[in-house]
Amino acid sequence: MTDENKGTTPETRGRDSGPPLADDAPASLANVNAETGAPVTKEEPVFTEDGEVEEAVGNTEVGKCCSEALVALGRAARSFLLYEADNKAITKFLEDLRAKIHMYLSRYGDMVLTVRPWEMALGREVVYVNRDRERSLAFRLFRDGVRKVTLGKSMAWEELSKFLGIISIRYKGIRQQEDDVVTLLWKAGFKNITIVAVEGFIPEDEDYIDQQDRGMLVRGIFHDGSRAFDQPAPELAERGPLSHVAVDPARLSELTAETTNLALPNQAVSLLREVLQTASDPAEPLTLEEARTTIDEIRDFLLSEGLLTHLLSVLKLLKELHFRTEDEELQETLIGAFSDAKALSRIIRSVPPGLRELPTDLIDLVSAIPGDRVQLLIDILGQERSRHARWAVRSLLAHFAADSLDYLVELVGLLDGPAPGDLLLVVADLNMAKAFEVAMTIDVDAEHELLSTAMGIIERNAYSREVALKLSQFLESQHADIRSRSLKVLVSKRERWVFMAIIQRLERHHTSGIEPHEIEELATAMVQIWQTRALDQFQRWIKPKGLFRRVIQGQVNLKWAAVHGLAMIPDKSAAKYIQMVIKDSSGQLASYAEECLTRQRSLTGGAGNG
Amino acid sequence: MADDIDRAQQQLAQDIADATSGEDKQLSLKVRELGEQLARLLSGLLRMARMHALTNAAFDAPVSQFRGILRELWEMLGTVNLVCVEDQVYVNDVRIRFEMSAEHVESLADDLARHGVGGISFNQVLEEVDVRKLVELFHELPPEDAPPRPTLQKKLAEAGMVSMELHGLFRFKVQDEVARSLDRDYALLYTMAVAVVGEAFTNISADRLPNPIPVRRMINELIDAAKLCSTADLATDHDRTFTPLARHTMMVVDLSLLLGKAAGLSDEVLADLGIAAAFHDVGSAMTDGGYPVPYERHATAGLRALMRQRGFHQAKTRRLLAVAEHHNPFESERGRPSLFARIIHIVDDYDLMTRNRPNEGPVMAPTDALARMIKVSGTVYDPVLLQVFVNQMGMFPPGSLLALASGRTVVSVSGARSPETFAKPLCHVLRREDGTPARKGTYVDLAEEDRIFKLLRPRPERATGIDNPKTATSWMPDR
Repeated sequence: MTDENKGTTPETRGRDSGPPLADDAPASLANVNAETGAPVTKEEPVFTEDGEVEEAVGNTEVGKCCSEALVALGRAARSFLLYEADNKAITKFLEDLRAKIHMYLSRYGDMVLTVRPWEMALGREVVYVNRDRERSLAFRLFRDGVRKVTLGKSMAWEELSKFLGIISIRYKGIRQQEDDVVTLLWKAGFKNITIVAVEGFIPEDEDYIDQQDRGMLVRGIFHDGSRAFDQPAPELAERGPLSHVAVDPARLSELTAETTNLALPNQAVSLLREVLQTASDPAEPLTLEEARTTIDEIRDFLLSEGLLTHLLSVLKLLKELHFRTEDEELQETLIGAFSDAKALSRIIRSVPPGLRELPTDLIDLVSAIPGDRVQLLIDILGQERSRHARWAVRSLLAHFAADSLDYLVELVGLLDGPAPGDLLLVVADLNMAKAFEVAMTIDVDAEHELLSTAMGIIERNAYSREVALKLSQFLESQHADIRSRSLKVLVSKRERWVFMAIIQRLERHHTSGIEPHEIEELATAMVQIWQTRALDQFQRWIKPKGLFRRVIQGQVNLKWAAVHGLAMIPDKSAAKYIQMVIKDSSGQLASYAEECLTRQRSLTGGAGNG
Repeated sequence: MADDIDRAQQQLAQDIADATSGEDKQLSLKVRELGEQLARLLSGLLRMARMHALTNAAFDAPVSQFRGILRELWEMLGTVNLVCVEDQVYVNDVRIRFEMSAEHVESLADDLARHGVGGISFNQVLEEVDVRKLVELFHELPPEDAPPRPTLQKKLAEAGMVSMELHGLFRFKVQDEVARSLDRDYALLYTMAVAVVGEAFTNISADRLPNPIPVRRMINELIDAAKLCSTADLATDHDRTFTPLARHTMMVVDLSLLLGKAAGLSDEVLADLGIAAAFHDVGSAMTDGGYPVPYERHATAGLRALMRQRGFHQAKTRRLLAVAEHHNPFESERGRPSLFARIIHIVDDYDLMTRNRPNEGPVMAPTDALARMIKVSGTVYDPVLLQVFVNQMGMFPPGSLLALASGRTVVSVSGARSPETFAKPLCHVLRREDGTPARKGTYVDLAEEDRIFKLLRPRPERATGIDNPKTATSWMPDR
């Protein structure tokens, strides 16, 4: 590197760094000593993963402040070992790091650190010590060749987080094939972070370029001149005019656009196309087996990005090309890997939520899957939990399972979980009449999703006595929404036999086991179905006669239902009975009864005050 | 501020995920594990030699193990470099963590250091008898009246171990030292790069796993050094003692970086481009069934070789594409080649037409090469990139031989310094007006004085009515 900063010219590397941390006070600052401005020693020690305390060190206020910042840096870097990257714990560590670094830089300026195997020093003062190989920030940096670190006063958060990323990668023990710490630091192009690192080792006596000795020992075409050959020059017969022509910057921008991450998927596909075409060329020695790792890696990349169009183009190519006989089995395996349950699940999960229609590429991709597509989709449906992913699978099944209706119907009765409900929806898409038949066979104790789907189908179909019977079963469902929907339908049809069923339900749950809104719903239904009988029943609940008097008198839910229902009946006696409840009750029931009385009076214009 | 933290956290997650996908964990662990065993065994053997005769049966097992591990490492990596630096031990750039005490590390380093040795390169696998001999020779006291390392190297050679290379003592190279060395000479850096790239070629051609990191480090240094250099520095063949492939490869690297930079690519992208350029003809070093790969298939041979590197990485993807496509025309039914391939195609063909071939000289003058390339701009070559390249190189690129109106014979030593001086390079005077050799270090700036009379060509050139200097006689320049 030509200069210590490694940033060289800003326009060549580096990034838009944002405002300096020192100027950008974060919302959460460590408590500050009012006199010295140094952070107050924490009330709680900072624990490492095993409960071991990692304390800040330092003899001076500057040293302690620096130490706090370094402990925070080490902790943040280690956090990726313990937590998933999106965990809130990591967010807290990052916030803490930012705050501590800001504290130091804003007060004391540049942080210039010497890195030793187990410690770091600020000038002569040791500001970080940790002798644990796995946890020590100093050891990690030293091991990777870093000998000095300067965090400049103007350092922005973006630079610090980039630096943190490089350290975190090494904390995770990742050793990349393309980069090491030195090249990562070079790439980062830091403007306000200076690293002095060892870049390898050189002989002490500097006469290390000895080509002759090397040539003797390292045979190879690069050094072995005996392998005399030279490449042929291209044959370009005609000449054109040479002149300086200014190049439009927009055209250059188009070129640099090809170097961004956005261009990578297309490039990956191009590479795969090149590889597959080479492997299919009988004149070439490259086999599909040799290409397999590359194919798998690119496939996994495309899957992780959910790039349907790209996956599809690769899959088509894999299917269309003819490989050697000995590669054919592998060809099938590779095709399968693009579209097995795991791959397809990933693709389906990447379908954006809120779509109304499936992307045609997804349909085409599934079309390209060999074997039993329907079963594959059903398997995925059994595992998927996200709503939009299940919508996608249902849509695919509706597309592909038209000939498998009976099979789907059979599975509705066999599977557990939410899948049967989804399958019933698919059946409804394909053949509503069949779906209705199935819905009518669903037991009241079935899973909620299936019940709900069945309910929806029944609601959409013509009413009949059989439907009424089914809904009467659903009135006994353990799910409140199913009961409610069933009741609505029955009430709309004025089925008087339901009246007794409602009374029975209320009387079964006379003191508990039913929510107020359901009580009110049932009371409303009674009035809608049979007002005169309802009036009578409500009165009996409020003022029971005869043998049941004592039994019914304390039953709050019944009175609640009664006052609610009476509020809907424009009859003088209704108000009178509501007033009885007000008089004889207290608490919530009394309050509710007062509300009901108000409503009832508004029906009658204020008359009927009993 | 919460947004900043969120963004940072997401970016960190992405960076770690990208790094993970680019990792070949199996390889890393294996190298560290085997490297540690190798170093420990060597240390142990040398310590045992102090106590027992080498014929003792106690040596049998560790000698055999050492040989086995060396073989395993060699098959994976090629040349195995064991280096002791200060208090650390490295095997092929991987720092070995010794589970033993530091005392063992010091012991190994001391045993080597008393012979002036800081590292050993095993270019081939050793037989068991060779391992014993190695231990024996290291155990002997170094001579008092002769330099120890060359003496030991000679003894090893006499014992038949010519494939082992002993290196002097090492120390860590710190960054600011590199700056000082580069200030001296780009040519020096070029020479270092040949060694590094050459070693990579050797390993790849021996079917070992490609390791781009040493080449990447070298390319990074070239990029930084190039900022202090002129076009001519980059477009010059610095050392004609290297083989044609080495010279061609380095020229393609240099010119690719020049063109890439002029096209506005960032340093990070230039680094990837440089590595792709370094490996663009690696297929030429491969063999097929024991025979050299035919030139027509060197691109796919290179692709095949480089695919052995595991781990998904955008640099690797672009590099493989560049190697596979670098001869594909711009307009093709196979689709447009990738950016790196288009860049390398231009500079590759330019060098093939203009380089000084052993016993032949160049095929044509640089001006003619560019003129021919411009004719097929848009069909064979990317028109934007080609124009950028022409704008950089000028009408008379470095190395162009010119006869001036004054009678002087000169060679161009600059690219286009500005649009106005596109056809008026700075030149080194070779011959005076009277034909006698000029004094060394005499220059003429054609922007200031004199004018070009004729372009001197290495071979007859058919003029096609374009406004270029007319046909010259066939002439081999005496440089």
